[in-house]
Amino acid sequence: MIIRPRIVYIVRLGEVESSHLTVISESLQEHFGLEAKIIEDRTILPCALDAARKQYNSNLILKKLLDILPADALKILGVTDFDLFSPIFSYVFGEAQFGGKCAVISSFRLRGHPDGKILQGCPPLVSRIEKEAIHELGHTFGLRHCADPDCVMHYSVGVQCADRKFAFFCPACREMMVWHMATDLFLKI
Amino acid sequence: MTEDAKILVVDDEPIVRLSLTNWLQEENYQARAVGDGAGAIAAIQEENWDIVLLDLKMPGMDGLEVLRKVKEIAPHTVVIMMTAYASVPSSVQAMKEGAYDYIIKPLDVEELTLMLNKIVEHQHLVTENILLRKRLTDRYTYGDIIGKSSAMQGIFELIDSVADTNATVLITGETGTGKELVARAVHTNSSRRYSPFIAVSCGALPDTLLESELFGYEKGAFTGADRTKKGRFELAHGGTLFLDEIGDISVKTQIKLLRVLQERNFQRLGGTDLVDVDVRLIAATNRDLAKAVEENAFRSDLYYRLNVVNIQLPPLRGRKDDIPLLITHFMEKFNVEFNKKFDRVEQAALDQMMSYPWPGNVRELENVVERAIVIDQGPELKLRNLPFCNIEQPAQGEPEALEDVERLHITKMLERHDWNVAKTARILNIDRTTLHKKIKKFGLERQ
Repeated sequence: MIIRPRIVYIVRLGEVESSHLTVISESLQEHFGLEAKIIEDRTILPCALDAARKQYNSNLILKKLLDILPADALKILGVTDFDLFSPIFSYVFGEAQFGGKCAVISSFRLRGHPDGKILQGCPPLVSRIEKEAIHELGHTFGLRHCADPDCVMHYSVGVQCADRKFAFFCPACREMMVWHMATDLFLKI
Repeated sequence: MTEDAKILVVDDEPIVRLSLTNWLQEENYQARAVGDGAGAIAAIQEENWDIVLLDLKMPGMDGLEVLRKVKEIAPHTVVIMMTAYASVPSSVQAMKEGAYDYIIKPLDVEELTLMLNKIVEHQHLVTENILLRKRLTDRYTYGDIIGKSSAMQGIFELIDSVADTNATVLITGETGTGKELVARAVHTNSSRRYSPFIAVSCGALPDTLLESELFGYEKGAFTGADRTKKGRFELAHGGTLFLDEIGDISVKTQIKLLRVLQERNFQRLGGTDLVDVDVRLIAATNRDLAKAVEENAFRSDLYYRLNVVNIQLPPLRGRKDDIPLLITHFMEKFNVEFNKKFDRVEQAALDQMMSYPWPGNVRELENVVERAIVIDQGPELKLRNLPFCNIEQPAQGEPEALEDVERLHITKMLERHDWNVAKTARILNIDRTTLHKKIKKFGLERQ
């Protein structure tokens, strides 16, 4: 049996509040039992900008994250404040390589307003960011969307709906998570 | 339709096909993508799709043309048009041609999610509605049994009067006449309806296996009995046990069965404790049990215990008045299953079906209608699609013996369903065990 690295790298893409990254880091250590390290990258975002749409291509960011993947990384999570889109969708909160290594999230639309402004009366932004980070990393561990509206893996239509779910897994997803994680962490030979 | 609804993506852009299919699969949908109109039509002809996400502007055959074809082939399939241009006239045209809605590219993930959820929910309600309507009591139906002939009306009355008693029922009739359906109707109209209905096909199991299936066994009763297992009698406690092909059981099992009927208790194999059961027994056979009793092949005391109430099902050739009604019923059933729109029968086909002797009874009629619907687009069920349309002048090499026809049909169905025995058995409307027996009997092997 080979024991694989268990570090999740959190990559600051552009100007992101340090407190948000710290919360994500602590949350990952708590929920996944994994060590999290925060690093910074200034090369990825410029490559992913679509000038016409004034948005960043999440597919390209995932590819670039793979390019900078440290040797001891189990997963890598990009975090940005800029608006993301995928080739088919007008915008995305985040995107993950399903069952793969990398994911990216953006706080832009999580602020509640389509132009990235914080809506009055919204729950703390950091709470939404934390849920989105766990959700996308869940996908990298092979978890699909969950029917339980309280589970962090539930797909919620709109940020307001996402506020009702918790920042942790339902028992079924947790069990799946542990199973997938064991497969990811320990390579049987 | 559940969350794993089947969605076909039709778009000429590879990135859209790849990304959208991946996203749909992550959303628990079954998704596939094709790059042009011809591919879409082939996919629609090949299998059923719940939803088609169709690009409006494509080189060659455009979205509107594909939409028309899809609606022609599979009218129940929901089509959502995708367009990179907010072209109102073409979108309105698409809606007129039967599109459910349109969505502008790049897609709004929330809008698409809500739209798909709404369609899935709606189709779920439609399916439920169809099923509920089917279950409504109709004067020509009883549960899943259909017939307006006086013979069948008499059977319905008999089921009514016997259902809510505890009397043992013996159902007799040729193969394919619907003996299990009658047994289920008796159960569902009795006060035992909320308890289990357990069916055992006695003919499909060897003697020793049948005993352990019926009565269960204790741990260590025989090699491999590593735990105590409940038998069908125990599983049916409070409900109904249906013993099909009762005429095929050995004399030894007949004695054990008789004892349970008399004492209402039994011992598991290898056990000493008596297990009490409250079970209503319904048995069925296509054999002449009275004759078997005369020939000492079946115990008379068991025969009389089983034959408290006898329901004799007529062969289909004895109730030809029901054939048009049954054809309509099966057309409706397979229209839904195969997404077709058959609504009438060619007169010549009906004449042929009315004069055919139906040795396989209703099950054979069902198979014939299914085949005719599978291989044609409708809306008329044609004579040329009936397997026996040229019965008087069989084509060269075409099998004439019923057994040969059966072997060929089973082989074809197995091939069609990739040798998935459970699925094929369902399509053939026979038990898996029966299918296994037939595979063995005909010496069929996967090529």
